[in-house]
Amino acid sequence: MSGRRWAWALACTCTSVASAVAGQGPVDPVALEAELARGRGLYLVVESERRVLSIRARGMELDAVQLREIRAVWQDAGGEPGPPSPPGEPQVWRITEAPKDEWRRVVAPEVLVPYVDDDEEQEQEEAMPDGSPVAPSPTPPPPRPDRYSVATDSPWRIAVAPSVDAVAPLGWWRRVVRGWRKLVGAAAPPFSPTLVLVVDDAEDARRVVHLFRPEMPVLVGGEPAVDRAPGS
Amino acid sequence: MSGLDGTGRVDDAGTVGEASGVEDAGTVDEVGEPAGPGAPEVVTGETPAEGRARPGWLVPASAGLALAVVAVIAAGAMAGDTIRSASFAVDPASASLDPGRDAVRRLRRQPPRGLIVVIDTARGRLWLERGGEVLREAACSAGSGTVLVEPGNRVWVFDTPTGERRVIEKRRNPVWIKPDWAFVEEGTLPPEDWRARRDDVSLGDYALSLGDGYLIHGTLFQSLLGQPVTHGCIRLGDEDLEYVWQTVGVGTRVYLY
Repeated sequence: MSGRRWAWALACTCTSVASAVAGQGPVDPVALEAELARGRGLYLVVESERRVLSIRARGMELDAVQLREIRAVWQDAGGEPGPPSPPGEPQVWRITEAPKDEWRRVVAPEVLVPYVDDDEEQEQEEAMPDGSPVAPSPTPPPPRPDRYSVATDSPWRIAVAPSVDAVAPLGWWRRVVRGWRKLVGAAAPPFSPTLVLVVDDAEDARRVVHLFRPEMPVLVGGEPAVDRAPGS
Repeated sequence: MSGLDGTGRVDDAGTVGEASGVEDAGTVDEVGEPAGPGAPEVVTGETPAEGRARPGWLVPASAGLALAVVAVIAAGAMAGDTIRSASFAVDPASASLDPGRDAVRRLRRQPPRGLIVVIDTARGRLWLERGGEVLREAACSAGSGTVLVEPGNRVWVFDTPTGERRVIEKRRNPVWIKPDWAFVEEGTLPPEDWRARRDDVSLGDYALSLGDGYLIHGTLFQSLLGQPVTHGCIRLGDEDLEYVWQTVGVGTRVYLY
């Protein structure tokens, strides 16, 4: 058994033992959310019943992204004990890494020239020939990603994508490539267990990418919010 | 074992059938090139040679062989290393919003009462709400997400913060003292003289401070409202800004996401 699987098995055992010692019954998603709602920060809730990714603060749903499906994908290493079955009860995971920042526009002037006050006045005059300001044409930002995967403090990653195949090697061709690499002795890259949130609209994935950042709590298997805000 | 079907799909459990490739060889025959034994007789006079040159069994046999090889590769290699997937659902027995439960009571105490401001930074919308009723909805602009790198020195990321904040100050006719990044962005060195940093017009008629230098303020460029173009502040149009400034008091909670 690999070290990673040992760690997973140990984590599962410790969690079960801790729950048993504490005399806890089934995990209560509302109790988990009540703890998260005490802080000033946002938190995300994956609701399996409504199939939504809910953006919340203080128990209030600020917005929700409709999901086509929520799928757990994992690698089963034939016969070896170990990871993992999909999470079957509510859990709070914390994101430990942000999606790559390649979508951000970078402005990096090579040299800075001394500031001259007259320039500003000249620009103002040029910008306002008829007395009204002319809006600059901002450089359009690069498109935000519509598929990404982030690590969490659990053994599971969270991915957001328009299809499961986009983030997991489930497609037929990707399986063949993976199989071929294994046949010729090139180790196929291990696939981390991933909870894939399949969005209905790729734009939904783009508009929430900035919320998948380190320390963001994600309540997996939460309940509908007790209150709704206008954006939701 | 099911697995690889005639359309090349794999079942959800990720299993691939050992014999499926052989079975599928026949289906390829059906969709392959129609170069059967009688082909030369039915083709038109312009291209007779093409049909005669290719033995009729070659195409389906090649396709069948290729499919069988692929199936064997997949079946053999994936046998001990399978990617599985399952629909995710939590145990419904644990789900209950019974208002009598302690956890539910604690959670219900959290949402703020009274006036709140909610801002969707990605879509550029602002809502002013009281007790579930939307008093005002407005287009706004939030942070562009741009990264500004000073030559050999500092880095700024123009994101709007998220989470809960409060209005900590309200100002009429706000003056902006331009920070260093405003000059670096223009390719100039930040001036020593503070008077060169003073800007009386860019913030509009009103500003509401959310702390840490972030403001809700006006803009000279109202045509850009709704687009993520700011350095982290929230820009509003003149009328919406005036309404918000008059309605919102110091201490009002603002939720940004």
